[in-house]
Formats: sequence, C-alpha cells, structure tokens
Amino acid sequence: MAEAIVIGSGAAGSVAAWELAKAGWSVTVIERGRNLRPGFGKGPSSQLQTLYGSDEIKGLRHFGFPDPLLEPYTSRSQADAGNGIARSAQGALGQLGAAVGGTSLHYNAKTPRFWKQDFHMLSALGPVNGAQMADWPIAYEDLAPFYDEVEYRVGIQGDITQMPTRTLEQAPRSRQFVMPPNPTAYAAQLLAQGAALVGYTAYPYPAAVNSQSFDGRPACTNCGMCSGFGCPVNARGDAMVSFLNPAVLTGKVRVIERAWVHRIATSADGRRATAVHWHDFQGREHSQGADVIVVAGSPINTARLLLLSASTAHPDGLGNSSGQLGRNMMFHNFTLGAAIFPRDIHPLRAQSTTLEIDDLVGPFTGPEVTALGLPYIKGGLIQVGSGAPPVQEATLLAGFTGYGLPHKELMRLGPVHRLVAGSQLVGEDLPQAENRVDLDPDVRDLHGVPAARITYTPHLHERVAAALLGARMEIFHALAPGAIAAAIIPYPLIGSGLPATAHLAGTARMGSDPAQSVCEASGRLHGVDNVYVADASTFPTFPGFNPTLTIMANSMRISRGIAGGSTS
Amino acid sequence: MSEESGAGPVRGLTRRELLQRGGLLAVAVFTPLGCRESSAPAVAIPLDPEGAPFLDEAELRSLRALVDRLIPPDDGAVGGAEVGCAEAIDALLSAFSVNPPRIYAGGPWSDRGGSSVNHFEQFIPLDDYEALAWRLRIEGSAGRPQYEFNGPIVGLQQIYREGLAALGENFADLPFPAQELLLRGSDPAVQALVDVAFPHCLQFMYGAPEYGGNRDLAGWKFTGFDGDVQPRGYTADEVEQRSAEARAAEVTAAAPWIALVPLAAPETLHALLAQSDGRLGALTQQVQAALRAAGARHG
Repeated sequence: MAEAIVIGSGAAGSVAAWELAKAGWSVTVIERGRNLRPGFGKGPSSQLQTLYGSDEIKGLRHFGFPDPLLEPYTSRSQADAGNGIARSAQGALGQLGAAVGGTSLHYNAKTPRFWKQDFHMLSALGPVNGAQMADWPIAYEDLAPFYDEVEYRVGIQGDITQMPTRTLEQAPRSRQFVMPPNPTAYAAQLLAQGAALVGYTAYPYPAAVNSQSFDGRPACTNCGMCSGFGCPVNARGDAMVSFLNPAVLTGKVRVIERAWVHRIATSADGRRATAVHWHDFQGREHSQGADVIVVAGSPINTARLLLLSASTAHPDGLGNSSGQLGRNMMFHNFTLGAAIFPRDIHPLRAQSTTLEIDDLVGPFTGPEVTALGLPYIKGGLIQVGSGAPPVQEATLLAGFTGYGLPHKELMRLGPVHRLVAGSQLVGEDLPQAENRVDLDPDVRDLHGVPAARITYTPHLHERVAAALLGARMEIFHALAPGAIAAAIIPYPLIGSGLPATAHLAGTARMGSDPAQSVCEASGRLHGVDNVYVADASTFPTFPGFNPTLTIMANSMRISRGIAGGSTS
Repeated sequence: MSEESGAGPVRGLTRRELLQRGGLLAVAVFTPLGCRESSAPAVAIPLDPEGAPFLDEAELRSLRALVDRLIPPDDGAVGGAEVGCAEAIDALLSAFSVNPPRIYAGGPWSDRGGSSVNHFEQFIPLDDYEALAWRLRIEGSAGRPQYEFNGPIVGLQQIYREGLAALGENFADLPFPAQELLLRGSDPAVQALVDVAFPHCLQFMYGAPEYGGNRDLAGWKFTGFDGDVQPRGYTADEVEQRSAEARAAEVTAAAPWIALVPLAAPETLHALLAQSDGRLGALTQQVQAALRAAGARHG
C-alpha cells in the first residue's frame, strides 16, 4: 500500500488525506494543534461534538490558535528590511488556526469561486512594475469540476438564479447550489438597497453553511457568531466534517496531534524526500518516511518548513532552486466600510455575512489609475452586512476612547453590534518578490526552531485600489435607507505593515518554468520527486475572493493527481 | 518540559504559600502526554470551583476601586466592580488553582439560549501546550531559561501585584480625582496595570458570565446585547425584519467614533485583537493609525 504523510490538517491537508485514502493510500496527517471536536474519528460527522461556543473570551485567549508566546511570528515592512531592521513586531501576526481541521473550524465559511480572468492576468493584462505577475499553470476549467465536487461534498448554499451575469460568465457553474440561501440579514438588506441605487447587485453569498439539514447535520440557527467561533450546532461544512473525519473513518488515515514538523530530509542527491521529522510537545524527535509527502501547512508555515529543510543538495531550502520559495507572500487587503444607523438594525442576527457584491472586482482602468502609474487596478468581492459582538466591540472602541465614561457612553449605544451595517472589499494583493517569508535570525518557537519572519508592504496597486474603490463603497453605504453616516477605512493605507486578515496565499507558487516557480502545476516541488505542496502557497496570484473553497478544490486536484500516479 | 513530575492538581494554596513559591505555581500540574493520537478531551470535572485567590483582601479592595475607574458606575448603570470585574481578574490570576484551570469555558452552549444544561460552566481541561502558554502568561517565565527562548516573560500576576502596590494601600479611599491623577500619571507599574486591566474589564463586563464577571448579565443588558443565543438562535423573521423593539439611539453623523466603526469586520477585528494580545497600548496604536488613514483620505 502506498503511504503518504500530509503536513497540516486544514482545508488543504484534510482534502488530501480524504482523497488519498479513497484511492487506497495509507495516510499519516501531522498537525501542530489539538483536536477540539470530541468524537472525531469515532463516528459520522453528524455526531461530532464541539468545545467551541458563542464565547468571545475564549476567542481572545487564542483558543484553537497557536499561542504567540510559544509560536510567535515576526514581521517588518520592506522599508524596515531595507534599513537592516530585523523585525518590528512579534506575536500573533497573520497566524491561522492550529487545531485538527485547521482554521476551517472557525472560518467564516464564505465560498465564492475564483474567476476565469484570475488565472491568466499576466498574459491578459500585462506586467505591473514592482510586481511578479504570473499566469497560473492551470485554467478555471481545470478547477471547475473540483469546485463542483467540493461544493456538493461540503454542502454549499446559494442561488444561481440570483447571481449576476458577469459572475456566471466568469465562474460558470454546471448546476444549482446544494441548498437555498439562509434568510438575509436585515442590515445586509439595507446596504443592498443602497448598492442598487448605484447599480450594484447584491446576491446571496455562497457559503458552507447548512440552510437545511445536510449529511445528517442540522440547519444553521442564525446566531451570528461565525467568524472566529466554531459552530456550536454543527451546521457548517468544513475540512473536518466534510473530509478529515470521513477520511479517518476509512481506517486508512491516522492523525498525530501536537506534532511540530521541522524538517523534510532528502536523499543525498536531493531528489527524494526520505523522512519527515517532528518534535512532540516535550521536544522529543520523531521521524517517519513515506512514498509521498504533501505539505499543507498554509503559506507561512509551508514556506518556513521548506526553508528549514535546506540541505547540501538544496542549500537555499527544499525546492528553492528558483529563489522564489517564501516570496510572493500575499494577504487580502480589506477596504472596510460601514453605514451607521440611529436605531438597532441587529447586524449580528444572521449567519455571518449573507450578501455578496461583485461590482468592484474589476479590473478597472482610466486616467485616475494610469496617472498613478498603474496599468489597472483590481478589487474583489464585497462582503455585505456585518457587525461585531460586544467584547470585540468594546476592545476596539477602547483603542479610541481609552478607559472611563467616554467608553461607557459609547457602549451604551452599542454601535458595533446594533447600529452598524459593515462591509468589506476583499482586495486583491499583487505578488511581490520582497514580500516574503524567511527564518527569523533570533526569534524561536518553543522547540528552539527559528520562527517565520514576514516582510510585507502593500504594493502601490493595493493602495490605489483601496482609495479609489473605497470612495465607491462609501457612496452606497451613505445611500442605505435610514443611514445617517458612512465611513470607509482603506486598510492598505493604514500603514506599511501586515494587514489584519486570515486570507493568505503565495510563497510556493506553481508554474511551468522551474526558474520562476517553486512547484509544478501538479503541486510537486521542482527538483524533488515526491514532495507536493497542496495549500494556498501554490497560488501564483491572489484574486479578491475568500480562498478556502479554491484551496479545497486545488488540493483535490493535486491529490487526485498524486493518487492517479500511484501504484496502489 | 515539567520541572517536577507526579504532582497532583494544585488546590487550596493560600496567597502566602504562593508567595513562598516565588509567586509561581510549579509547572507540574500537567502530566506529560507526549504526542497523542487523536482523542476526545477528557470530561471536565471542576475539583474546586472556588480555588484560592491570588490577590489578598487589600489588593482586591484596590482592584475593585480601579475597575470602577475603568468602567465607572453612572446614572444607575453598573460599573466594573458591581459586575464582578475584580473577582474575575483574580479568577484569571489564580486560574491554575483549580482543575481544570479557568481559561477556556466549555462548549457548545450555556443555558441561556434554550438548553437545560450550561456547558460553559464546565471549563475545558488544558493540554500541555495550552497549560504552558497560560502559565507563562499568568505567572511569567521567572528566570527559567527553558521558557525564555525569546527573552523573559512578565506574567499578569506580577503586573497586577506591582501595579496595585504602586497605586498605594489607600487607593480605594482616595477621592475620584486623586485616583484619576494616579492612573493618568507616569508610573510605569501603573501604566502596565491599566494596559492589561482595562481590556480585562471589558471581557468581564461584556463577555460570558462563566468567567466571573457580567453578573446578572448586567453588561449585556447595559449595552443592549442579546447574549449567547445557541442552540435556539434566531428565526427567519428575526433575521430579516426590522426589530419591533428597536429603540432609537442618540447618534449624529458628526460622532467621531463613526470613522472607526468599519474596523468591526469579522476577520479584521479578530486579527487586530490577536495582534494586540490584550494590551490597550498596542490596540490604541492600531486604532489611531486607522483613524489617521481615514482622515488622510478625506483631507
């Protein structure tokens, strides 16, 4: 029986484990987090319990996340790097979840597809100064069947009849969604009416949330505590319930928790990986070999691991003959909008964010763009109608008022959980060589292994897109019926550092030219026969859509390719 | 990673005993488990729901006065002391005096949203990793080199103890303006105290009451929040329709906080708060940068 080791149990790793097990492989999944779903691996996903709840304090205490004291990341801007500054921040920076099932345990479950145009931006739109634009080595059509398969397995709600024509042209679908949309939040309806006045179309956001019973799991109850919270009622499709738990139930997959992989060792000539090495909590060394190793640690950790695996045959890191490993680190740059109302519009009463607008995806051009030295700008989808619960609200407002009565007066209004309809433009981030993950020279994790260091500054493109598209967003927020004010924060203009987002991509881009990419279209590292990358590290560009569905579909494509080439 | 082995859960330690241990509980209450294959966490059994306080009565008295400055009672609305912020902070500082430690309330729901059982009350047993992280956060690294791989960690216990000492024994008896002067002064121990105490107060005023604050759900009532509503949730009508009970709020478009509100975006806010890791100063820097960006765009 062919054997695989999958590093990371999130969206990419879980799909890989399931796909390989289905093809008869024996799979070991290694995960640095622990299991937070009692019953995992013991019965159907409909019977999984959860330690999560609608509890904000737990979220603020890093529940299900790496602890920044034990596993910090560091960061700095490109200017800092140019000035020889080793780091300007240390802690929870761009960190995704660490638990069995990964970040998908508490993701927002928004599942748009990428668009056709996103796969060949370089050839269609040309180069951009200071950015490493690239075509994907695959097209939308290569992913489409996997999108469809993942959507039907995870259980995606939506309504094809309400989707805009351009969206369906750019992301054609072969059939209706698995289930109809949830009720639309009142706050989102108000913004949709404002958007309609400027000609934008809001439609039900595709989401991995049960609007009706699905696969033995119940319908969502609209509690509104989605992003950052595990679903208390098991109504969310994710990597664990849809892939990893069924994979373990096949008997072919075992999951090792609280295991920190720090090296992939290769043969002397570097052509074959021979073993994966990891530490347990106590720091004891473990290792295991396999026919194939699938790296799925998410972009920062995947890059860190491959860099840590440098050897005589791979002096700059495993699969890094191009020098591109760790580069092109991309984060979605959100431009944040809000309409403010003088009455309670209960933005939290609904499944997360219920409406999507695609009218600012772009690309856009014109004198205001070219005057700033760019050939075009691209935005992304807009998430419509959010709020935030009171501890997050109170803590945010504390940064504005400080302590005392001014803060309390604001909380008497409850602005963020009662009076605001928020929205977020999920802005595309262009790949840059100098936006990169490398190994921090001094900062370590609990096992003494170098921490990931992220050097990041938004490209001019992201700043211009935020400013120009933010102005358009402001108009439709101001037009929401009953709104008395609108505000926009163009996040890429806030500073030169890391955005606050859970959307990450890049660092091990796929491509057909080994001199310019880290892995092949198949996910296999250039120059190493049996190591594949299956997560969002492989994305050559990062269009403005929530990435999890594409991570799953791409991992399924890569994993099926591995299984198809196997001898089992 | 443990310094001692075989020790049982630490219970009922007095403050004096804690001090004799250098203010630290030995990092020994978790049994090394090594790398485990997937298994459900053990069922939580609260061995000692009260635990042993970390702060003494005099310190608690000062802390109660402090939390009432951070969230002042006014117009008949509760303040930090009345909702239990001081006791909740002490419960965090002494989290490891009970087993499971009072770090993560259980799931999936309390008894406030239609369940007859309150799962939040059953705190989740920590694994070795979580226990180490939270011991370091609460107790500090205390000069132990194996925990100072990125330098010394000052624990919350030390920040509170030194900060309260810097406020003086009679802080609670001072008139409010004198208290304010102390809090707004430049004493670094006081500044470090406020830096963590205000965010803690906000958690314990507006968060789940199982952590010791938000007594009688007074924080949620004050801010007009429904609280945790699972498993009942909301009906389609409650989601889609204007609230019948919606009260008008005194808001005008000139309110300066409006510029800040867009930051309340699901992924963004979570990441921002994780980055600031409970420190008011770090958060203030982020928020002010956001306001400057918003202002610059209009200016």
